[in-house]
Amino acid sequence: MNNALLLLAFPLTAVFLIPVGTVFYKGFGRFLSMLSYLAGIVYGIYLFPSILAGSKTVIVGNWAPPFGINLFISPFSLGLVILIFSAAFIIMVTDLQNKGKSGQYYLLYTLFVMASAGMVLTGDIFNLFVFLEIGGIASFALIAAGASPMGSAGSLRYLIQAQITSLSMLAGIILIYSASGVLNIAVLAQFKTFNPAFAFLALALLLFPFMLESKLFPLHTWVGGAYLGADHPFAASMSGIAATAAGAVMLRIVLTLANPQSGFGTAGKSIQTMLIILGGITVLIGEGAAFTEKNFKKTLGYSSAGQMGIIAVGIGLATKDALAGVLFLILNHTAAKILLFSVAGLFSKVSGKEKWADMKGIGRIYPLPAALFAAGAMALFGIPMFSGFWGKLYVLKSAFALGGLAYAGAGAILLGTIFEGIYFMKISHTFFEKSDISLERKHYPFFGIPALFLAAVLLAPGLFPSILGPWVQASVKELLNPISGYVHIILTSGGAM
Amino acid sequence: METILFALSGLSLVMVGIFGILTKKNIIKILLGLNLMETGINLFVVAMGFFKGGKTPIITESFTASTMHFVDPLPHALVLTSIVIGLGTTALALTLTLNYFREHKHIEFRGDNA
Amino acid sequence: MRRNESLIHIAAFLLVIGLSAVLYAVFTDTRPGLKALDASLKERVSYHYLLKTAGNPAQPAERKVTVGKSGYEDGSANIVTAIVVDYRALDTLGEVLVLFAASAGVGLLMSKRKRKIETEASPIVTTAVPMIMLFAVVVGLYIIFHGHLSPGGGFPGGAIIASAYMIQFLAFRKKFSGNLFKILESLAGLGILGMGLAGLYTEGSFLANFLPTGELGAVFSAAGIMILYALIGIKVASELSSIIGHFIGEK
Repeated sequence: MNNALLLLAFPLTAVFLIPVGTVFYKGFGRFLSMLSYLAGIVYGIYLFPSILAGSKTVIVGNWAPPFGINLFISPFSLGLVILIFSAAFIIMVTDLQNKGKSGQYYLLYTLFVMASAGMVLTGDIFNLFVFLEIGGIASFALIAAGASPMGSAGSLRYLIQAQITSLSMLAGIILIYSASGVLNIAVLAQFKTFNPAFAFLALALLLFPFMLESKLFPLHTWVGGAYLGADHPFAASMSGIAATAAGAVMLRIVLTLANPQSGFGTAGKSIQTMLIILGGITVLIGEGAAFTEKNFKKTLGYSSAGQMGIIAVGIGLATKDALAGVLFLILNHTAAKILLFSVAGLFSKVSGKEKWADMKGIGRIYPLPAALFAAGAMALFGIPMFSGFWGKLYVLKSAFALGGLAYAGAGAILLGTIFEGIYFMKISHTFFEKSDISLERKHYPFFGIPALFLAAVLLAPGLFPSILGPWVQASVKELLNPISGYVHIILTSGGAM
Repeated sequence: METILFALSGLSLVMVGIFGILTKKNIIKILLGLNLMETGINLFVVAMGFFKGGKTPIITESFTASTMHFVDPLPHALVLTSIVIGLGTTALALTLTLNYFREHKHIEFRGDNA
Repeated sequence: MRRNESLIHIAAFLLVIGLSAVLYAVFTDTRPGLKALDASLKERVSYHYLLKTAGNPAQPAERKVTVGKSGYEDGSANIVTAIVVDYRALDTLGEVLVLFAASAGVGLLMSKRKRKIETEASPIVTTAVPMIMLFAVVVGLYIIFHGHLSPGGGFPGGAIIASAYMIQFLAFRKKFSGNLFKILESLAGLGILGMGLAGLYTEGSFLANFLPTGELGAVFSAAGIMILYALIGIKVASELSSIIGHFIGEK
């Protein structure tokens, strides 16, 4: 089973080969990075049936858990890794039109994808920090490499905030280590007891960088600048890949480390309350900011913050329904955001404008992309027939069932959804408005196929939620029973061959 | 006691760094604040592995489990990683600052640039 | 403007005071349960790293570690090195990737520009620099190859070798081509990955040590650690040199 580390080794091989290959052939970087994502997808799908039957742990360096580092391959983590690789592959396909990116761009992008996958898989808090930093450094460079002149300003602001949060994570790691003597999530989860105040501080410090990456309320101020600076493919990756990975890590830490049975029990409860409150505020602030924003990329970035707010509320609720909703929302958000950003990229390329208000009537010249934009917007809004509907429905259902503070979270989600509906309708309407815009219609073959595929991904689970059934059920079961599942498998190394 | 003093000096450096990041507008000074903070956290990490009377964790003579007096080596290994990460971030941040200067002709965060 | 600035200072000061107060409250909380520094060395994982019993933690109470004896699970006398390169090797691979990302990022973002200052180095400098360079390279190599015995290893050793490149640049203005460093970096990275995969196929686990560990404390011991640290040293030296090259600019 230790072979499953190949999931990370494929992109790593690509990363190390790219600088050599680019010396001889300039397009080598794009080719090899796409090939490595494809290899990851194929290998992940190949592993999936056996993992669905039973999760496995991968031991690195032949040192069994508390001493060495282990990765955990479960339906949840493997599913999200496949999602991350597929997202990266599709983003690369939509970007095929764009020539002239250097080999280093693809090197950094592959590192970013590898780090996001590693964050989802790893079972060690310090290893998590290392993967976070690899992804962080790659994304600082990639944001600034976008064509926008604002790139370095947005990237610097992101860098400073991300470094402060990741340093606080390091402090949290060492606090936990000095209290318990281990760094492994599974061992920590079945630890005796921690002092409640200390446990809350350590867990909050540990979660800070992931709250930053998923743009939760006090840590969302970097969003505008970074999305403005990044080019469209990387903006799509930030909300599609980085936010997915951060959401997955929050799920893992909150539900495994901070579950009521573990030593972090009482602190875990406070962390969940905090996530509901912050998530609710984020929905309102994110959707509100997107509502007033005129720049296309920034609008989509703030809308991504709103979606992550709903996901945070769902993680805070931590019921069976809410978690199923969160999984639907993660899938929906990734696919929809890639679709929306690719449409935004296409439109700003053909019109030369950055604001959506300036793209009046563009949908009459490009009807298919504009219609697909409307479809993606409807999926995010949660119209029935799209997977976003089931996500929001499940989260709201469980919030109303729980009552108390959860009502406030549900209210925030509903109010935010109204804002979301209004501005997405405004944007879609603008595209089809009558205007004297005159553009020559060109064909973009690399746009249509992936965009249609993404629309299908959004529709299929919405129409037939049962196709995701086995995955969602297995993942929710795994996340809600950490002691008998996750911890047991890692500590007995069951499944390790 | 020594451990607490050690940890406190690290944390006070962190506080100085945070104060610098919050109050300065010059990017170079903000990055200095960030580096101070990082050094403080690194000191704190090492402090958390310190035991009174502990020796450097390098085996130079034979010992048994009961006569062993070492400080905890794991935080040292973590700090090594953290230092390298700090170096990488600083190099990248300085490059970004240089690009920022080219675009804006100054190196201060002002209200006008989002 | 001025008043605004002092307000920011006061707010920041209050925030720092508040943070300190929170930390004080947390560290002096008297409720039961584990807190910072509550784990003694015996309860930490490092205890087994020091005794070299991580592979089989249930050893008899009087475990003896003898210098010069062979057959330990890890051959490094320097326990920090043992942790960095053996027990937590995946972190180190990540660390190498962080530097790799930083050097690629600097290369991607640093546009070509001319150096402004061009002054000839004085004869004193040009005479002294080759000697210092030689010294730096020798010390760097020593530190890399003694990583398992004394403080040091691939990272500091690589940095010292890169400093030799830097002073030669300051004195003689000779710059190697960027491609040389790129290829060196990649080959060293592939070497590390290859060691990892070799571990996967011989021992069944990525980055597992498959080479003899040798006698504890001997110069030629812990072969796996030596090879990995040599590769890391090459990689760090070439990455730092390439970052230095980018910062110095074109002629």
